[in-house]
Amino acid sequence: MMSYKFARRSFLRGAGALAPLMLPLLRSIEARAAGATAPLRLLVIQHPQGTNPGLTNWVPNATATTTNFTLPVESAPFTPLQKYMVMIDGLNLVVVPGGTLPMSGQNTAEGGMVTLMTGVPTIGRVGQQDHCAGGPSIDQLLLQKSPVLGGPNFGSPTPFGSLQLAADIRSERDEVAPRVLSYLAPLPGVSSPGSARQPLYPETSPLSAYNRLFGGALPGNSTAGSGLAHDLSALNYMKRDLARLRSLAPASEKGRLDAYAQAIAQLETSLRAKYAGVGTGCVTPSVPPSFPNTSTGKEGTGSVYTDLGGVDYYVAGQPNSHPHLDLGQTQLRLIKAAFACDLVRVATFMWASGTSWVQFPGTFQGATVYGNPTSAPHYPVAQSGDPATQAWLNQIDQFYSAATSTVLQEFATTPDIDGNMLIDNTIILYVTEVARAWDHNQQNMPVIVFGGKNTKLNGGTFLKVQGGPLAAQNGTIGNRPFNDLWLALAPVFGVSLPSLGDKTQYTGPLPGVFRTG
Amino acid sequence: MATFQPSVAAKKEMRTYGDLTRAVAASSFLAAACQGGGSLGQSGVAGAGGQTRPASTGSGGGGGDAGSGGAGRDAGSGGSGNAGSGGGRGDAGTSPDAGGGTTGCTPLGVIPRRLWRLSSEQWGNAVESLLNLPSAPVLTYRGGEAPYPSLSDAFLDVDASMLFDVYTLAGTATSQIDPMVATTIAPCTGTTVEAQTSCATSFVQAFASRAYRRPVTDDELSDLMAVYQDGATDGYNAGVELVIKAIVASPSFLFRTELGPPTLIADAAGNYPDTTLTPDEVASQLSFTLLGTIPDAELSAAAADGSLATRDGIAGQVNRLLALPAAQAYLTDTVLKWLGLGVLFEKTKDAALLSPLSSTGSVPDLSAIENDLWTSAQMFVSSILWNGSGRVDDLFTSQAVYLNLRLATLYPDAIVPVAPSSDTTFMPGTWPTSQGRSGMLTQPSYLWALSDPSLNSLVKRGKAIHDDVVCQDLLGPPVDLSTAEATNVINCKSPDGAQTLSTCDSEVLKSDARVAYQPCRVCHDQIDPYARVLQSFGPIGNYRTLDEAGRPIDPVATFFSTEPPVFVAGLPTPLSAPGSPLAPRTVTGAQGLASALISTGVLDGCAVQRLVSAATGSGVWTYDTCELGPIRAANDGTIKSLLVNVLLADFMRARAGGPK
Repeated sequence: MMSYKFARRSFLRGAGALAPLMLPLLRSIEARAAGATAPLRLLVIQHPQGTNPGLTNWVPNATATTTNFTLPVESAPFTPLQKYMVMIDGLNLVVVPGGTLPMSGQNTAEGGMVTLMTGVPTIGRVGQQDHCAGGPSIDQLLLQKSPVLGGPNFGSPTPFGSLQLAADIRSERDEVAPRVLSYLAPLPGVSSPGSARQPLYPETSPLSAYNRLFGGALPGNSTAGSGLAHDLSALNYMKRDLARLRSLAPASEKGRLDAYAQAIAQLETSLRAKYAGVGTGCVTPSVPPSFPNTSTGKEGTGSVYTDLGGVDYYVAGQPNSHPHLDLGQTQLRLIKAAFACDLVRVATFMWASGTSWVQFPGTFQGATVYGNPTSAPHYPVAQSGDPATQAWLNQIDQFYSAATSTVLQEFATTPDIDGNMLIDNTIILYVTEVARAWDHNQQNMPVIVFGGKNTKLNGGTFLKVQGGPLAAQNGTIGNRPFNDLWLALAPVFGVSLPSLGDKTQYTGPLPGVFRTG
Repeated sequence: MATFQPSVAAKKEMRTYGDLTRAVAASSFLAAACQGGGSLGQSGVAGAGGQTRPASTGSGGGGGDAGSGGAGRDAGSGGSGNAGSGGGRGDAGTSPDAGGGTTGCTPLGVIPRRLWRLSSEQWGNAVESLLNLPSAPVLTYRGGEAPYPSLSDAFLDVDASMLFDVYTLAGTATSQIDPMVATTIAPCTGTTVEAQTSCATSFVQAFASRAYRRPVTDDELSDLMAVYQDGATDGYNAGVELVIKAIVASPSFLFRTELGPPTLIADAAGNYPDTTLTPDEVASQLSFTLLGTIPDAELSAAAADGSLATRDGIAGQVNRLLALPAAQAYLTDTVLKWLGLGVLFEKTKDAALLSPLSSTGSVPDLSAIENDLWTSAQMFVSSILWNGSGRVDDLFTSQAVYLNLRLATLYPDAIVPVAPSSDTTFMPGTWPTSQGRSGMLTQPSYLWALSDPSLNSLVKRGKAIHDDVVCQDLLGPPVDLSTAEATNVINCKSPDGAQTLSTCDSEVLKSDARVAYQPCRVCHDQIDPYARVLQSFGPIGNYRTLDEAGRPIDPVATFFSTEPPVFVAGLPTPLSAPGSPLAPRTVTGAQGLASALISTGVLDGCAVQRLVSAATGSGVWTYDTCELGPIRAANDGTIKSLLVNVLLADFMRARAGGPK
């Protein structure tokens, strides 16, 4: 490995006329080389429809917190990461409905998604179950408040703020609630909950995400050295044009112009990455492939339908092609690369919406769903409690565990800028919006927290929650509200969060997840 | 009086996917419901909607459905609804609290000064026009625009993904034109820096003015020439191409301004006064509404010479533009989007329905069929609106259909005098009289779009007609379908589950239950009847005499007036739905429905409403919107008259001031 001094000279020589333009990047590299502390990152990964048929196949056979445990079949794929994980059993999702059309939302995938990520009462609904977020999602809340996550209140050290990616976003009735993880705070003073909520829709195309993050697809210039300078000249004009419009436009258009300004800033980042690269210590991933839709509006009937297209696990006539898996892992690897290159420090990833329409084979990994169809969409058939369907769902759950674990293991082997591994500086939560599919129970929510040595996580622990006021699936009292996990997480990122949501939605920070002190 | 303007954030509800219609509808309903009146729309009208309608013959001689036993529709606690006092279109009758006055209509309100982002299609068209490209660049990321938007949404932003896409495509376009830069795009024979700078200056001034739809200022020209100079370090072409990229990615290109004169001054309190669009802004309005692109030279000249400041000047330009094939094509698509046909491309169909195409053993190409259906629909609409009578009513009565070889195979009962010889050639045909088809209502494309894979969807069809052909005021959100009562009715039982109503093995039997019993009835008696009359046409628009359960089809429907509000489990306020303007009436078949839509004037009235929505970029969801009345009164039923009257309406140019 070359000395830093040599690397710096080589870097600048190679940059040629670009050198002055690459100094911000170089400063980042120099900080790394000087052994600066790597920033902490946050990643929330969602898989749909809980764990099935229930807890038995998900949590270890233990009645109390322990560091000596064996993961059962649904969580077994995470065994290689056991030392990095805290598996928690005993958190309940408490959905508090709001608005003039309340309708509970408890024990629904839609209400579950919204409450899982925001932790606050909803502000109403606009569709059958399209519950509207009453607050920012935890990732956005922490981004705003944390001094280490690179948010706008702390100088925006990362160019892209946060990232929202997904493998599939088809949802029943095309509702918003099940297909969004991240939300900004609702707009104040807007009475309509559907208009007030501010979902951050995830991007489902890895190629588009790659192009934006790493500056791919922008036309190069025959003289690379001048290309960036030229494009920056165009961007500078766009900024001046924007300023002209600001002087003419009314106050009501401020948000629109601010959005444009942010778009220009991100375009500039993409351009810099395109021409200047991302430098030593950051490996630009390969250009991802395109993933054309394999379903163009797979429908049901009545109120069970989707009009959106997507990429399935099952593709008719192509038994060895599973683009849903490939797409999802590609997205997770893009997040990994974005973290490593400090393009973002906060990301969310959805495997599929809470009311997932991803097609799986009717016989999947040896289990045949009820009715023995050639293929079936995940959510619409998941409502049945019959043993065959439960066995099929169990295989899908194992699939998601394995697919996620594969990439998370790469977090554990990807060097970070401080000489540790990426996982040592990244907290990853693996969550779902219901505990189980057939009745949407939301007690004992399946959740695993991953993180390495700098995250303060008590890795290698099965944490059995006890002493709380809520009932567990088996009827015993001892569970705690899910928000208690968020209250425990926030201080790790330097955020004081003494409460979250309605008084029924929290009791206090959940002990045992993170080391104190 | 509260005026309805979808909030800037309303669009965020349906970003990326979804239907602006639903977003705005939800917003509208919830705002009204929060007022506690159970009424829909924004006027706070007592009773159920205060919706007045044109006089309908044979219905008591008054406005709308006054003959319906005195209570009529909309009577509610308003008392007068639209009973008998109008006999004409629009705002017959009075309704207390409506509009704060006595007109019975809901004011749209003055559109505020605003920036209106080009739709992705308009951006592509404008770039194509500017650079004489062979085809318009197509954006992948469209800043929250719906996949098949029914209008160019005035509330969309430019987000990071979209701007990246714009800049990428701009680079591709400039690479495309590179061989022509010095000869055609920005002609220049000079070889010195000075000569080329002079050429570039002339080009930039003209190009930017055309792109921005207004003259550029000296400061703007100076800034743009700085970009040219930076690019020109790699030669004249590079300089010109760089400034083109900057222009087509700039806010002044991507946003239409509707701000009034740049000389407008805010008062001491920081508020701008009310104003009107400048002639350049009017030119943009006409051009983007009618052609979806930047003004042509003649329109720009009309802006410059002041003629667009007069009604005659505007009318002259509108009539000129309407004669252009490009405008006719764009407006044909506007009509199809108004009717929601875009969702056609999201459908799958049961293979059995496509069996005529698979007789050779090959799998039918669904994408090809859907493209064919779209082309067929375009030709149908165009043949009537631009090459036929021009009457909107005829869109819903014509027996014509256009088929290529593939569609002729799929719909063998169509009568095509000269058979199509290939899949690229569409030939005119008609439907057998015995099928009782009626215009767009029974075009295969329309029925394909509004059906399920193997079954008709009475809900989809009914709601589409309710919303977009009748422009009936919006229904509220659906009730909780997981309740025992709702589940029982869905399964064709009485709400208490005690009585089984039918075998529940067909869409009609399911509809019977929904229409008869709460909690479904309140909405479904307003939706389902419109679809019941189309039951003779299956999920791909195929004619049939038996339904999916093998029973004879009886395409009869009765249209309901508003019922008293009902209390539904789970909702704190009573639910109500505005009644059909066709009530009280029973019709048979598609032709019966079309006849009713035409004789009541509802169809023409809805066309006005939808085209005003398209022209203003925001949905108009209340039929009795005050500003629509004069347009409806002046409209002679032709598409040209409709568009001229929409674009001549004063509210199209008035803009409200507000805080700086």
